[in-house]
Amino acid sequence: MSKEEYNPKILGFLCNWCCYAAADAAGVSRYQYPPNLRTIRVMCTGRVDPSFVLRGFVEGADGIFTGG
Amino acid sequence: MGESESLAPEELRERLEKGLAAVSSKKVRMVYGNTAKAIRKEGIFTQEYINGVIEEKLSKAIAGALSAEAEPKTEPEKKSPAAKPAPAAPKAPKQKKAEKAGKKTEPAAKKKTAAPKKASAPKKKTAAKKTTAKKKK
Repeated sequence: MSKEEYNPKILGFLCNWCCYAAADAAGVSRYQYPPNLRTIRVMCTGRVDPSFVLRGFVEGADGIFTGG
Repeated sequence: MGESESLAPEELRERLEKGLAAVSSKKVRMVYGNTAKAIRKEGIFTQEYINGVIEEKLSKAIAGALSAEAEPKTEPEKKSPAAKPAPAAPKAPKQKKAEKAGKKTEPAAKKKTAAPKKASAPKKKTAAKKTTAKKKK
């Protein structure tokens, strides 16, 4: 598999008050971001449990992004 | 994932599942909470001290959880039949609720019966009855 074809699935846990708001603002101002990032809104990054990350990997995610 | 470590996908999955089980086990979480509490109580937040405490307490618990879950994989399956009686447990609270409701209705009935007595009996006696009714509750 060449590097160009590689399209990793990334799971993002975004904080409601900062990162998710930023993503929302980006959407409103019509910026495009890659579709291979699947976002999950959490009310605080402190809500993210280690089990969430491991579960994401088990379910087939190639990377986990935590924004907050 | 796991290609750089030369891990087969199946092995990687197994390891991840073990890690997930270890992370979500109550024992590890309890030990983690206790170590965090101990560090907070001591008030020493240097890297060396924290590493020392973690190595003392957490590493043992994590290693134990990983090794324990690696050997008997059938344990969760055994636990699942035991979980079947769990639905019976909620029934008991319902019964308790019903009993409580019954108890609640009884004092109301007493009050209703006591109401005519209040009219006939002097005020002091009614006060005493009221206090006893409250104690019964």
